[in-house]
Amino acid sequence: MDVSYPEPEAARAQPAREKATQVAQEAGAEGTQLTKVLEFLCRAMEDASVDRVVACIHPVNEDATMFRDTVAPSLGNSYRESTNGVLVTSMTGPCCHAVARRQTVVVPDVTADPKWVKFREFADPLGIRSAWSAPIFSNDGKVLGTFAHYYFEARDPSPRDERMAELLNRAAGVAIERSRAEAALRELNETLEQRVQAETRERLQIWNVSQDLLVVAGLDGKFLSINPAWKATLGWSQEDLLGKSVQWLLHPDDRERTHTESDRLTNGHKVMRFENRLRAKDGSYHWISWKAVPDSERIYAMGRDITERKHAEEKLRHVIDTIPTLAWCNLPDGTNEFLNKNWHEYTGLPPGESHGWGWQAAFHPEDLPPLLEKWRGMLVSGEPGEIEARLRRHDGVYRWFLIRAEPFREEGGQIIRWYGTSTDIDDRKRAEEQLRRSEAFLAEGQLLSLTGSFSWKMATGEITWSEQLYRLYEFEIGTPVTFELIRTRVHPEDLTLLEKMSEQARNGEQDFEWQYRLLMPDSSIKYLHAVAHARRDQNGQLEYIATVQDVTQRRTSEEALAKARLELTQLTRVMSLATLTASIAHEVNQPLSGIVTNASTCLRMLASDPPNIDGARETARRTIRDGNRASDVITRLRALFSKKDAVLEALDLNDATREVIALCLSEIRRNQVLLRSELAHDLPAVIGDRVQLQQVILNLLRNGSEAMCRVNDRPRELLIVSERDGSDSVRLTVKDAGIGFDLGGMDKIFEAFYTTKADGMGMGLSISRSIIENHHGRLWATRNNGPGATFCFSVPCASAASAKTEIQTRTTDAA
Amino acid sequence: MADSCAMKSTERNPAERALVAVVDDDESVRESLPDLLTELGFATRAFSSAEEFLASGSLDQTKCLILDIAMPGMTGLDLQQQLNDRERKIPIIFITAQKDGAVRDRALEQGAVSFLFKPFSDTALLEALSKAVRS
Repeated sequence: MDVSYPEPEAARAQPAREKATQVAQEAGAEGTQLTKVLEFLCRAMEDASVDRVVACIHPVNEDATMFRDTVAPSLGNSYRESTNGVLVTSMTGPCCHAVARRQTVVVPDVTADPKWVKFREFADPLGIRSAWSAPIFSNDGKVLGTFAHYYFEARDPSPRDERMAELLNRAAGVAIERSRAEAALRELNETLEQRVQAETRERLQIWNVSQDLLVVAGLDGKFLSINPAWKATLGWSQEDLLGKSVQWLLHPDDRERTHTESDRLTNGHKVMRFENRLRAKDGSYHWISWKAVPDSERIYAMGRDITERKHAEEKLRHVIDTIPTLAWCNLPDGTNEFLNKNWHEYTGLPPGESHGWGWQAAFHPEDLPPLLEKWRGMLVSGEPGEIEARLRRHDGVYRWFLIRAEPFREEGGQIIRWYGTSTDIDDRKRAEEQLRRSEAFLAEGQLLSLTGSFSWKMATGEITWSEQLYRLYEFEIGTPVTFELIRTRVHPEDLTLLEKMSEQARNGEQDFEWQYRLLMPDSSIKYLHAVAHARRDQNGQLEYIATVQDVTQRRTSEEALAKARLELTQLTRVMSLATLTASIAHEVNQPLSGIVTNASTCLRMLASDPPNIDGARETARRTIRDGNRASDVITRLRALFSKKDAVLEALDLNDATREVIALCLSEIRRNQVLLRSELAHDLPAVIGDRVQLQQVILNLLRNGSEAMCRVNDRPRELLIVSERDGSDSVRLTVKDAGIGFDLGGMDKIFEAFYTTKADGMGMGLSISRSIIENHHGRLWATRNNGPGATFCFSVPCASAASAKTEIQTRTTDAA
Repeated sequence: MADSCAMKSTERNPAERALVAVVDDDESVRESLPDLLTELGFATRAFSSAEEFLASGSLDQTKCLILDIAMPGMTGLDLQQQLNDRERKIPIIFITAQKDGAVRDRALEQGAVSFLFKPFSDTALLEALSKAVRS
């Protein structure tokens, strides 16, 4: 090669290269522009050569396996079409070899070498005899294509053409490489744009279809953008709200709270959740739960309509408030968060006082320490639990409650709340207590009354004994009870009775009772009295419930009592006979004594010399008198002891008294006694025996009269008064001014045979008292302040006495 | 009636005769017994109660006391007790209509000469009186 050429050749080639670069740049990213540039380079090659040469460029694809986009401005379309798509590996022509070997291939004569047979199919029609092809490299050494040159005669390339081709080859490389880069960039741009468009589309779609309220707002709270859900949910369109403040939609009660929340948002909190109520276009309010995220200039927020949930919560709250139990919710640290309405109403503690740990005030001071201990233990263990404690009602009354608590855990297992109920078990507790007490009473009662009990289920034959029954039988408590066991204790003579009894029990279902004996190991005998009651148990099975009482002691004491009673009766009979005899003897002996003495005197007077006739007559007269007196005594005794039945009737005590006064008035006057009577006008009737009561009145009047028969220093005044005594009795009083009685005599005067009278029998007051007592009244005596004594009796009036139906009709026992 | 003559001697001089006091609340006794005693030759005085006898001032002259047991106020036994207490040794013949052995025993224990149950015969009375006079 001649080195003198380079400069001028280079100078000639320079404008062409610049032109190519310019064309390429003008072409920009357009693929067609590359073809123009490469065509220009081909023509430049052809123009620059002094020989007849044809130039063409065969770019390859990205991985250099196939030719495409052939540029051959001097060869026509058929050549381009036949070379496009030729695989490098086909090794058809020199270009294939150039790409494969990455070096220039020179073919001086296509006819000279048989390997170019295939190539001659292209070459021969065009008159091509020789060819050379040089690979086009990129900056980083990749093969971009080939620059091919054809001559129409057999020859080697001229050095001049070779140099020219080398220069143009580089320009072609730059052009292809740039074109490729531009294509890649174009492709990339297209992809990016598509992606952005797709994503924007998607987000817009989400924005549009979201049912949640989406909003972009300024830090000042003004709406910047809202999604269509606002229209659907609240009725507001973008136009309605644009430029308006969120405050404008807030429920008045929520304004302050929401303001606080948004303040925190603008003060750097990253995410805020809160709830508030927004006004819809129709004026209704909706509960919205918000999640809001701020950046330096905007707030992005998503809201969900929770109105329905809120209503549900409200309903639930209503349920919680109205369930008939006290319900509550505590935080994991044990402080209270919520107590239902019932709790507040029951305790009377307002929410402000019960909050936190304030609920403790409602518990009974004695129950609080164990309650708190239990509660703290549960907080530590996280286990559910229950405890009983007394809770003070609003009126100060404590009632027993069963308190139950259950932890509520989030998904991670962390306890977030404790839910609990407090159930009023006071009545149950009381019933339990009462049951315990009655059981204790029963056991105590069984022990004290020596009464055992048992149940006997006929279907299964199961017999259950109370502890006391074991004690009665002297078996160890808990020993299984069988009929065989019972037989070992029952007295042999009563075994038949036992059999009969059990047969009766099996056949019927009637209550029955029986008495039997036990023969104890120490040969002692126990008398038992059993009473059985038939009933149906819960399953409808026949069952006997029976009590068994140890009546041994009662039998023994009954026997003793009967004996004592018999003895006493006999004694009493003897006593009263003796008393009666003594009484009669005394009363009769007194006048008899006079008679005997008088008779003796009379005889002596008649026997004396001379006989004392007058004296004898006088003593004989006295004898007669005393005989009459003895006869009177007998008559009086007969009257006293006559067993005449009492006649009960309603009677006017005043009338009865007047009759008595009329009977004895002459006797009283004879004794120079002044009788004064003060009988009440409105005296109610009394129930009694008229004659018996009149005997008493007569007795009192005679007593009083006779007590004054020796009184000479004062008026012998006898006062008889009838009057009401309290609401249900009538009282009769006889007051004398006689000799009275001393205090020691007070008790004696009512004893039989005690008398202060010369001719009294000492029986009157004693009998009077028994009469009055049989009328359910009472008779008593008092000493007067002045001389004399006062005797009174009081008997129930008719209305009061009618309640006491039984008035003893015989009075003789008192004697 | 043999011993009645012995009594006759004292009859003539009443002032020398022994005084027999009768204390009984029963009027028929107070009427009949003094007559019989007079017939038997004694000087007598009758009192209706123990209190009356104590107040009468006749204690010193009384050689014998015929005393009833059951009387209103002070009983015969009470009077006997009181006389014993005052160391008045008056022989006492009790007379009573009440046949009560216990009272009789007590009276005899307290030094009674005799205890007669009413009615009693004049012979029994005379026996008792002679016992009393002897003591």
